[in-house]
Amino acid sequence: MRALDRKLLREIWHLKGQAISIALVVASGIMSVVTMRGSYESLVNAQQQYYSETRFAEIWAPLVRAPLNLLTKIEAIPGVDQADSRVTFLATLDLDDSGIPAQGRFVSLPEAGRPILNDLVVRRGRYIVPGAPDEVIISENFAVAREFEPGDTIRVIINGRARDLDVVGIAISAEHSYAVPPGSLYPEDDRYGILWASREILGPAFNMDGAFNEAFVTLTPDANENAVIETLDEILRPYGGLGAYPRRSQASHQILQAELDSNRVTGAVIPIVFLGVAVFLLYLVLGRLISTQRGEIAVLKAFGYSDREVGAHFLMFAVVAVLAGGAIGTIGGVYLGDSYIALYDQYFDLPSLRYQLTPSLLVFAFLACVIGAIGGAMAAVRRAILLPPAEAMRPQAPDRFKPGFLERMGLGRLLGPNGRMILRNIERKPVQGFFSSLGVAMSVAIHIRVFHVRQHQFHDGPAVPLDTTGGSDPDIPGDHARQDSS
Amino acid sequence: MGEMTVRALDHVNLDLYEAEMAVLLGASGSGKSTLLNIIGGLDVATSGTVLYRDRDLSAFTDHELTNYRRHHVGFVFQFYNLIPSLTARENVALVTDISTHPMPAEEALNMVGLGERIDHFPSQLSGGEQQRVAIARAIAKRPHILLCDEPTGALDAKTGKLVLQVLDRVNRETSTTTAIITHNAAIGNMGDVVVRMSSGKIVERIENETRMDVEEIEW
Repeated sequence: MRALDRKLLREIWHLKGQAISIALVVASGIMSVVTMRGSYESLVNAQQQYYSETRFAEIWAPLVRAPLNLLTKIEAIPGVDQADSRVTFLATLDLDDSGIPAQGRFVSLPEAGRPILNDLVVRRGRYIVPGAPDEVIISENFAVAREFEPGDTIRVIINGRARDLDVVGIAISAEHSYAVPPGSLYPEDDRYGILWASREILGPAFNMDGAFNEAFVTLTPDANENAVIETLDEILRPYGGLGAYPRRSQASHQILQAELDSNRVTGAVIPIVFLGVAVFLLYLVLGRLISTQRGEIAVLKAFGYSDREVGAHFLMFAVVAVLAGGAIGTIGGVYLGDSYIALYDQYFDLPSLRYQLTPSLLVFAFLACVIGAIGGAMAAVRRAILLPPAEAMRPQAPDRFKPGFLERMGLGRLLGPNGRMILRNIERKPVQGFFSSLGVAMSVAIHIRVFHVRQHQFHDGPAVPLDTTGGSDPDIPGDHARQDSS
Repeated sequence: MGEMTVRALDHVNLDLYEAEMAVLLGASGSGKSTLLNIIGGLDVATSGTVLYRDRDLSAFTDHELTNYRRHHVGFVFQFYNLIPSLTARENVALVTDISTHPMPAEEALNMVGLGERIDHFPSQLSGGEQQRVAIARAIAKRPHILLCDEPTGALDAKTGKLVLQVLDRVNRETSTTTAIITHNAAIGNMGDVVVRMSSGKIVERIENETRMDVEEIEW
């Protein structure tokens, strides 16, 4: 090992407290990128996979009643890729036990095969058998809240008549992951559930034989969404069309998307805060190290070490700290990412949700931290590189000071010698003073953010973005996105 | 207070010869350290020429000056400037690591009489021992010029003599051109030539007929 490398190792050991601080801040930066960005990517992937596998619609069009053959006309709208229709109604559930009226949204399933669009994922039990008259699949949240299992019977009131239906399966669906009962703002899983049943049952029961009261479509890649919505509204107007609306206004999608957006923003901001601190810390520590090693820099240069070699020597201090931080951050990030996703898994029904760390994200996180930290280090190392050897040989000239602003204002008398020293130091290095304050501000910001997340996001029940009550689309008649009102 | 220009050296004309021991005498601020820095390639003269084996140092690029220092010049400083985190051997290795034909660190330390203290850190060595490590470090690369800036300035007379003896021996045994800067006139007696400086100028150059034995020097 070269003597210069030994010097590096011994000095890192000597300054281990500061090196560990830098490594931990860098680790936090990488950990936050790996955790949050990794979680975001995992959530987006799970969402896309879920939507793709269940053929999640892109436009919904509720209406009063239209004949089934109208679907052909809808399919022919330019820009429509696939179209599907169904019967959906609200019914009272006779659950006997709670005294609180419970409601169920009945959603029809095709008489044969799976829905073309908006399919469901059966978690337990099975899918309905064609021709079986009384089979029903219920939503998982409702089943959990009411402790229903496949094989149980559920009594529903359809058109004033009680009817016992057999629960054969428990399922989730992308469009009902956030099921809000009419007149409410939040899901109430113990008194509101989704019930999927064959069209053979629902058609006659709700006087919808050969008809539908909800259509939905997916779009071709080049489709004009607004044009399709306008055409749909035009076609459905004679049939009591209630106004078509796009996916972005669909309640469950909106909630999930809002969480993803928030996650994306947080995943971008938090690492920047940590990186900023790491950069600043490296600048300070290396700056101080270089000041105290002025003589040693001079000696190295006098003996024929080049500026590049001297710069690299001091930069290696940062590199070692960053690499150590990177290793800790990656391992910690994967562990935290797993836990973070497990937490999301409790609140969002994304069947394929699991934490996935992609190599590109790891490279990105590592490069972002290394480049950021080296950037901070370079600013300090540059001083060592630019220091002419003859000048480094001499003791550092005393720093230049002058009376500060407050002193020039005549307020210096109010300050003692200590106060004047502090004031003059701050005025002499305003940028350092500013970043010191910024560092403290960011630390406080991180704490507030953490407490906010802990108090509001996970302790107060399901994740509910703050804009839940204010984000409705004014273009959507009846604001279908917000609540079931049919 | 504005900036002002200081003329550190003025019309200095000096020749140093192969294997010669030169002593540059002068008070603080006389310009001797600046002259040493320019000869050693640590600084560049604002005007004039500095010839080393017919090459003009004042026209060297930074890279060429670095190579010149790396391969041709050894420095000994007043305050030793050892790296405190490295042992005596490693301090010497700092130089031999980047030299083309260095002597082993152990050999250099043996030359200055520190073979027994080879694995000691600077904090475990006396001032005289530290300066001898610095000399070992300077000569280990087998330089053509050895420049010593007040090598005894931080030492007592007894230890200073010990260090001067080492420099004298190195000069005689390795034929390295040696320039010693000092404000101590008595040290001039050990040199082949004594150059006296004042206010940035060479005011006197004396060639000694014989070099006095360091033991006989009194200050």
